[in-house]
Amino acid sequence: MTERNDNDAAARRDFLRLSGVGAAVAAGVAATATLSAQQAAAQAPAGSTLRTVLNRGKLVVGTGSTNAPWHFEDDKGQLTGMDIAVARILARGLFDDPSKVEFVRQEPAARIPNITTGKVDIVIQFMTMSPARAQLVNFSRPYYIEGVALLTSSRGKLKTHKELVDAGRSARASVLQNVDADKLVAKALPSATVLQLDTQANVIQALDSGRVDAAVVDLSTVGWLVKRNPDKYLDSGFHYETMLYGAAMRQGDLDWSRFVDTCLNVNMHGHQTDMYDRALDEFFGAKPPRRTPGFPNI
Amino acid sequence: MIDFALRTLPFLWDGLLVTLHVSAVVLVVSLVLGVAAGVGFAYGPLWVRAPLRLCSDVLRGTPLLVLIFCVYYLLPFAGLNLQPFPAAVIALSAFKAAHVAEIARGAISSIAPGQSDAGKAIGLTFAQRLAWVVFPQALRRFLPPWVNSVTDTVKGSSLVSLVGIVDLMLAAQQVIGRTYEPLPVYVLAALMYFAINYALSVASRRLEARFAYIRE
Amino acid sequence: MTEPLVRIRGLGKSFGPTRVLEGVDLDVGRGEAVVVIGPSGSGKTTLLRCINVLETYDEGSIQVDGVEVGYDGPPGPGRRPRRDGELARIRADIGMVFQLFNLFPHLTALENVMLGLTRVRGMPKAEARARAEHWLARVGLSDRMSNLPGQLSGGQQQRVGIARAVAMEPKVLLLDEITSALDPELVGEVLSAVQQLARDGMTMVVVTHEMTFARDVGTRIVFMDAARVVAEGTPREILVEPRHERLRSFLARIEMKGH
Repeated sequence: MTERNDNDAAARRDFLRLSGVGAAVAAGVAATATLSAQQAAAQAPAGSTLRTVLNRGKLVVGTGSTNAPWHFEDDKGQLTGMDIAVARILARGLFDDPSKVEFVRQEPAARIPNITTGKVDIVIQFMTMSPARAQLVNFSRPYYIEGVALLTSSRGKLKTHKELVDAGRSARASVLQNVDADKLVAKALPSATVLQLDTQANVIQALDSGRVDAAVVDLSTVGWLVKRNPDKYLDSGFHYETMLYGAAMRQGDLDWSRFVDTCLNVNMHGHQTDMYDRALDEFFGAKPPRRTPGFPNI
Repeated sequence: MIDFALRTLPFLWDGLLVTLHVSAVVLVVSLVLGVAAGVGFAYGPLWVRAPLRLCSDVLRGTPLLVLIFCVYYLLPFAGLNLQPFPAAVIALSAFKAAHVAEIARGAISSIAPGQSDAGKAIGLTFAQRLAWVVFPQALRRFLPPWVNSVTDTVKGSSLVSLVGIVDLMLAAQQVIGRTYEPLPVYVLAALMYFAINYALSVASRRLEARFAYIRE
Repeated sequence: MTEPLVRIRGLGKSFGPTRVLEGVDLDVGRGEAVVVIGPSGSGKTTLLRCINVLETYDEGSIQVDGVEVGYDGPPGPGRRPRRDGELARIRADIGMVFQLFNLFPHLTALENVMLGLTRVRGMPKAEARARAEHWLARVGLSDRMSNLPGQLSGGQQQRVGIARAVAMEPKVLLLDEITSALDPELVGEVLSAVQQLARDGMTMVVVTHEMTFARDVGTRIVFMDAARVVAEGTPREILVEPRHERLRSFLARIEMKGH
């Protein structure tokens, strides 16, 4: 090793001055990073999120960017989808301006961590409500009930649910890999042959290439694909399973939770239903049921 | 197919720019910090070398993904809540800096002590010896392993997609999420990664040739 | 009587448990060429390297032109070792030529000589180049100025080393066994360069095994053994008519090796 003799005590002191340059660079990166509005959210523990968001002037929403029709980029690169629409509904409720939202793109695995560490004010990311998750986060009221449906091809022999059931064992269906995947398909098609695939895209690809007669996917996906390509895809008509989708928020913040619930109630069942209905149609091709005044059934 | 490629290209291009941006920042920061740490290893007293050694071993022994999540999710408990981009850049830079420090330490230590003696004898200060005597010679031994690590940096940058930064990787996934056609998109993305690394290896060969004139 | 240029008093140094310098006193006057001889391990190279603080010393004092080199003051409690910046200034006025040449391999001969002139003396490039060319010519290397050290013979490299040290116009020149690593036929060219410098009045301290050189160039010879100065005198007193027992056996050993 160079310079090992004690002559270099002098040199060592001076090298430390030089290494201050490196430390300054690191400090600079950290300094610019802390100028983040999200920090206000994370470091206001006792203070209410509602107050923080209103003061900040925009809502910070955690969501994904790779799953149509919930959260994805349109042809112009803008985030859109049902989850995005719900975020904009909340922004309108807060600021009278649906554009005052900042989206933080995240993987599904980050949905709960980004709430508990205060990176985002709320997570709206096709999140299935479950008691286990509800022990970690507060859920809003459900804003959609997801189901399972069978997507069929307009060029295929078997188009409706009845035709698929009648085909018995010769009917083939693709589904996303899962421990309960076979049971899921059997609920709709008791004797069909099941093909498990690793991604949603491949499940639908199998239908496109004719390897299967039906793709067993989310109801929302069926609605989306049929709406976008009515000449190519069909809904076989059978809808089953019910999973509640809700928005996730930090626990211990009553005002924020109540605000979000109220906002969603008003937009789904009350007097400001225009944005919700438009999204329902745009992304699922669906219509809400008739809203009746009088006794509340929400 | 070509038409499809042309329509998706702008989105992948934006992702490519982000990948390049992240890689460039990480390269520069890790180079500065790593060389400084390398100088610390070669010349510092024990109370500097020991903590540096500890940090370096921890950083190099931890998977990059774990580091990114540590910086992004654990630091808030210490009071530092970072946006995804700075968090990812800090984690990547720290990881690379530890590697660069090892390369720098090896390159600097390989310079014979007599060189420092000669520099001192003509009255050069420590900083001057580093600049005019040690670094020019160490550079030749530093560059080949460092340029190798640059391609690793570019590849490792794809991990930033996991904290929501729209780099080439995430851009590709977003396009697939919209179009449901994974294969052509992944092929395009792979071609872009290949193009970057090919350019880097050409540059590295040129750099090595340029510094080959110093005889051992 | 003017102050000696280099004034060493009570110099002491330990390497761990080993004592490498003990109570060394030495004066080097302006224009003198002091040659230090002795068996390996006697401390002579360590002594030389203490003068420009390439080695630190523990006790005693070394003053060059009245300035204590290793500490901020004379021996006493609370004196502080010099910092790198202070050392650099002091070393600029002390030149050294090394046994293994230690030329900068990434610079040409000319650039090797110019580096100290531009970066330490702050000379403008043209002036530094002129001075470097002058000194390289003085050591007979005008036609080799653009060569890299790797393209030069040992003797040529050492002459560049001499030019590099002398171009800084140091007050005193330290020569550390500068011919020991050279093939015998190359020794002569280096020694005659040094001889010329001595004739021109350069103050120097030389550590060497070349007894003929010591006799021809040295104004005073110092014999060291086991960390101490054992004998000191004119070349005649030390080399021709040695009185000290250990000195005589040392010289005898050297004679037998055919020097």
